[in-house]
Amino acid sequence: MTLDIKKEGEKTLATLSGRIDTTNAAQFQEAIAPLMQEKDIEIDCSAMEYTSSQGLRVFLMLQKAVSAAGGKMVLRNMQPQVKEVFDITGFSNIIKIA
Amino acid sequence: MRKSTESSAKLSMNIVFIAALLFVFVIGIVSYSSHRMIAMEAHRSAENLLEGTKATIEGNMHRVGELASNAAWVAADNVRNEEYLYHLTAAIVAENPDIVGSAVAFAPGAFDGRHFFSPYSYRDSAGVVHTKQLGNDDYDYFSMEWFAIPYKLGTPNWSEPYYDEGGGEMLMSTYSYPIKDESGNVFAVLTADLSLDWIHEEVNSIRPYEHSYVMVVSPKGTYLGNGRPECRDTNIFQTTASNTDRGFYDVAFNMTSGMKGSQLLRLDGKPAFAVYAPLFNGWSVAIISEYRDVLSENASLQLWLIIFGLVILCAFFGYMKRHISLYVKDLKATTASNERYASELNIASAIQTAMLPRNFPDPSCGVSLHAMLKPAKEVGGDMYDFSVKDGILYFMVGDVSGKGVPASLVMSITKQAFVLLDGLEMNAAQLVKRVSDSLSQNNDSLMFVTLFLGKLNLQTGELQFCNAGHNPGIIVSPDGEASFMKVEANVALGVWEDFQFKMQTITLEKGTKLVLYTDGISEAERADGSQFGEDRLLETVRTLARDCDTPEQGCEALYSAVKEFATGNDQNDDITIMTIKY
Repeated sequence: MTLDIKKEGEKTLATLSGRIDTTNAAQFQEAIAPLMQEKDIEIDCSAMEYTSSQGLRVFLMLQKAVSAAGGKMVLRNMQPQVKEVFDITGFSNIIKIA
Repeated sequence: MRKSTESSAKLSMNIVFIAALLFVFVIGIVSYSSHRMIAMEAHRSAENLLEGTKATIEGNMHRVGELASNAAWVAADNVRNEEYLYHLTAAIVAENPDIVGSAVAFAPGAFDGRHFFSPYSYRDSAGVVHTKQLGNDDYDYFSMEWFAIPYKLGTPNWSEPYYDEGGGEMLMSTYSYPIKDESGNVFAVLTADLSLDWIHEEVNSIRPYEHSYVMVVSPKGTYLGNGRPECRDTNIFQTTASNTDRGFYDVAFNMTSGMKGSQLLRLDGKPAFAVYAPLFNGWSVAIISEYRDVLSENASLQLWLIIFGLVILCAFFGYMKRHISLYVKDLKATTASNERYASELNIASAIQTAMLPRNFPDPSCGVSLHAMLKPAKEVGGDMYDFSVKDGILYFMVGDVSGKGVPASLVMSITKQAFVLLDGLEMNAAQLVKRVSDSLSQNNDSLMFVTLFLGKLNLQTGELQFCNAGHNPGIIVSPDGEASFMKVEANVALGVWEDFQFKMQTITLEKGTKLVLYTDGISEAERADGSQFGEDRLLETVRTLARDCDTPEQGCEALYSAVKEFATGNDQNDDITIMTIKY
């Protein structure tokens, strides 16, 4: 799992790749910490291969933090099998996936 | 505590003992190799010293030789001048303190037809130079070594050393230089008697180690110099005779034979070595050194090493003893706490297992059901529940995000929340909403639960269900067709307060089978990272539904199939399977 973050004006662009599972969910949680403060986040998920429920939980935390701060977040280019996890759990209803 | 101190002392004793063995081993190797190096170095430096000594002695002798040859040239130019020849010998002696005598000895009849003619000057013990004619019938020098050898051979010669008994009572050697006429015939011999006292001085000045000494011997074994005063007036063979050591005999033999080399020997019974080399004139110089001197520095180095090592070992022992005892104490505390933790986990596991219903419904009630739950750790976040009441089968399979203790806490709350709602007239979606809302409050850790809850009317086959973000179950029609249930995703429980969960209703034909599971099944992984997957799951369920007679068999067979798929890989998530046959 790697998460690269860069600022482009007001926008924050992040690129997420690899797998998020039990072994690195805590690491993922640390990695997204800098995003918690942001107002306009776009995460490119094209290289993200898998997420376990712990990974979903971290997405949820991020979404809650961003919403609470009045910001917005969108996940882009998600692979179908990952999108399916978001769909099954209903997280697509909470987190914007484009 | 007393016991642990004792055992740590014992443990550190063992470690120190091994360290001591290693230490002795290292000292042995260091001492052996330094021994060798020092001995080699001593040999090398002895050889250098030998060369230096040789050069000093030879230099002195060459100087005398050169002096004699120059004088011979002068004498050859004045062979008729009797007075000058007397003057020449006197001058040679007077101007060279280490030359105690000099002669120009003519061959029979070579000077003015005289049979004997040999102007000769010498210095007496008082230092006064006298001059006289040496040869007469009482002193027929023609047969003497100093005259005969250069006269016959035409080459210069250093005589065997001898004691000048008449004069200075000193060891001397005579250098004889042939004087030749224009056609190369020797007609006279010029001599210079060199006192060898300086060799003794030279030899005595060289003492590389306390017990080492230098000796210079002639080809006949006479000591020209010997650093041991008691040997001074003897010769090397006398020393050999009083020395039973074969090594010294070899040294004596090789030196008098003009050979160069080195030799191990015993000096007064102690191991020693000699290096020796010949001088240009056949004499030989040797340096003899005892190993105890050479190695004494090494011995003191070793002593210091051993003392140093012992101090370190003692300090090490003390340190180890203290730290091991602390460590043992620590380890005991940790072990105790781990044991307590493990036993608590075991109890928690038992409590959690007890929460799951074990009495599966009697098939005579119109439905048969089986379920199993295998946590990845002692406790987990998966759950299932079922009950049959008033002709309705209530059943539920759920999965808390994550696993282990945190998940198990949420699992307990969730499971209990449903128990509390038991008896209230609510449809599937209402039940789910109530529990979700209660979980959503104060859910700071954002743990969530995915869940499938169904209510099956055993009379009519009407199944109303609510799927809250859970993996869709598999439905197998009586003719064996297997497919994933079409479910509304809704959302997982605990993340969205007041979410309106949608309920769905379908009607099951008699003989329909349902398989519910958690993602521990569909996402079971092989070592290469590939997952069991939904396609394989669907195919497996289709086959098992055909081959297995009861939900229990189907449940076990599906679990086995997943286990087999993930052989060699640790179970990475909780696994729950529920099979229902209507």
